[in-house]
Amino acid sequence: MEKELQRLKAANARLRERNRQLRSREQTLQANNRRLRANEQKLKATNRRLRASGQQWKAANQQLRAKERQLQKEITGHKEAGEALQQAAEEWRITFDSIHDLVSIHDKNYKFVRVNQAFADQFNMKQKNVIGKTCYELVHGTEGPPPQCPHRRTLETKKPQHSEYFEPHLDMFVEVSTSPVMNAAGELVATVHIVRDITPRKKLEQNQRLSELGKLVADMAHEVNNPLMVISGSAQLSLLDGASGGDIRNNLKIIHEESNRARDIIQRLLKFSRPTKGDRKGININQSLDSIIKLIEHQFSLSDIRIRKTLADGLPLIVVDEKQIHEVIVNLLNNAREAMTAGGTIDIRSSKEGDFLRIDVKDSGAGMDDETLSKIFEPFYTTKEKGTGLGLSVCHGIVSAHNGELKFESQMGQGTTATILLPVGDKGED
Amino acid sequence: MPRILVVDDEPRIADIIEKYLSLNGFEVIKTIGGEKALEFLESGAKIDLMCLDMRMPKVDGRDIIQKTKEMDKKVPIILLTGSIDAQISLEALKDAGFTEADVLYKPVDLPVLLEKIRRKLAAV
Repeated sequence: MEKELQRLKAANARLRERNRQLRSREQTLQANNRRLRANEQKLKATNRRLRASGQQWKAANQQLRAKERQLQKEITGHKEAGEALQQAAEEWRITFDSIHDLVSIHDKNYKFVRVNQAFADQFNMKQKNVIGKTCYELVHGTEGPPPQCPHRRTLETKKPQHSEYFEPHLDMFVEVSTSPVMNAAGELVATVHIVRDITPRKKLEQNQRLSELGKLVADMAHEVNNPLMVISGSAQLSLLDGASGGDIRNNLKIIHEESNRARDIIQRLLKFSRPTKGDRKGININQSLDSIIKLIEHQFSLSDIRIRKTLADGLPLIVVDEKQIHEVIVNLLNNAREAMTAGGTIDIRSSKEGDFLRIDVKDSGAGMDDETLSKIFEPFYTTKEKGTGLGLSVCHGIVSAHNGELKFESQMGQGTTATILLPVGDKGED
Repeated sequence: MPRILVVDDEPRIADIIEKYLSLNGFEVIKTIGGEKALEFLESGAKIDLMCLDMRMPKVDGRDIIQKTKEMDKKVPIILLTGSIDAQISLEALKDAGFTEADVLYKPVDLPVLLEKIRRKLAAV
């Protein structure tokens, strides 16, 4: 029994041991299990993190790729823009150098900043060698800007300026225009000059003037030689044997009259060539027109011509030589009357047009063709049997001397309108 | 008695020439202006010589020269002019068969005109 008890005790001890071992193993296993679980969660977290960063990386990569594409595009764009800019600059230079006029760009100190090929060629220089020189030393050969320099006026006024003059240093007539170059702040930074050689045109004009002068002299000779012929002939007849006292007396009367006629022609011619400044004062043009109309109304009515006036109120005074302006208006009225052989109405209007006072004399007469219209101011040109051809030349001279304008509009069969424009508040040329 | 036609648009010039030539034994017919001269020439009246002013309004000396050519009138002409210019140039007159000797410039010395007329008539 004892033995059995002991065996049972031993078996119990083994079982206890076994149980302890099993508990210990269980604890170990449990601990292992916990670690494994913890590891698993760590792994899961890592996995999550990795997944997230993978997506971030993917996005970043996409962004980078897009950026790269954009950069490449920009690089191409810049390259193209650079080429276009170069092309534009080249085109500008070619255009600049193709201009036959002398073109130059100057700074505010009269120095050349840039010149075109024509400019350099004019001075037998290379373009780059002109840069930095002053325009007056090169173009005018002077130590300072000459009085006619438009560049100086552009600097002063910041506006385009224009001059025409003979440049002895270049031996040519030039037409110079200068334009300001302004920066974004509205400051003048440079000027552009265009110099044109107008020598051929000027020479042609001179020749035309000489030929016109030649014609004028021939016309003048004809006009004056006719009364001279009468004077000379009458004197010669008086000197003949047998000329009676009555004949001589009559011839002397003719000589006197023809001398006056020659004098008048010469005086009118002088007036045409150089209208005198006369005695200028402020006049009310409507009063003048009224007084002229009163003087001629009756005479005109004998030719069945009525005068109708439309005078504007409140017109400013004009400073003119009243006698000269009267002469112009009377001349225009007489022409109107002579154009209206069958009678009719002459319209006289006064009005203000900008800075000018306007006087219109409109007839309902025969009118003029274009050829006549183009010649009406030519001295000695006349369509009248007994005209001197000086009337309108003198009128034109008078109005021009008052800084005004005399113009005609006409159509065959439609009548003629003569218009005088006189500046308001202008004392005319000095 | 030789018949002279005087053509001028200035009545006083025509008068003077008429008086002077009449005093020197010519029969003078004067027309004032070119149109009247043409009418006279077209009437077929006979003349021995013409004193012709060149510069006249409407019908001028050149027109009358042209007309006499057309009418085949072999009438000697002396030209009177106040001036020679591009309009009535010596070249143009030469083309029309005139010489400088046929031209007299106003104011004219009447004895010179008379001498020219006599010579012209003697040469016919």
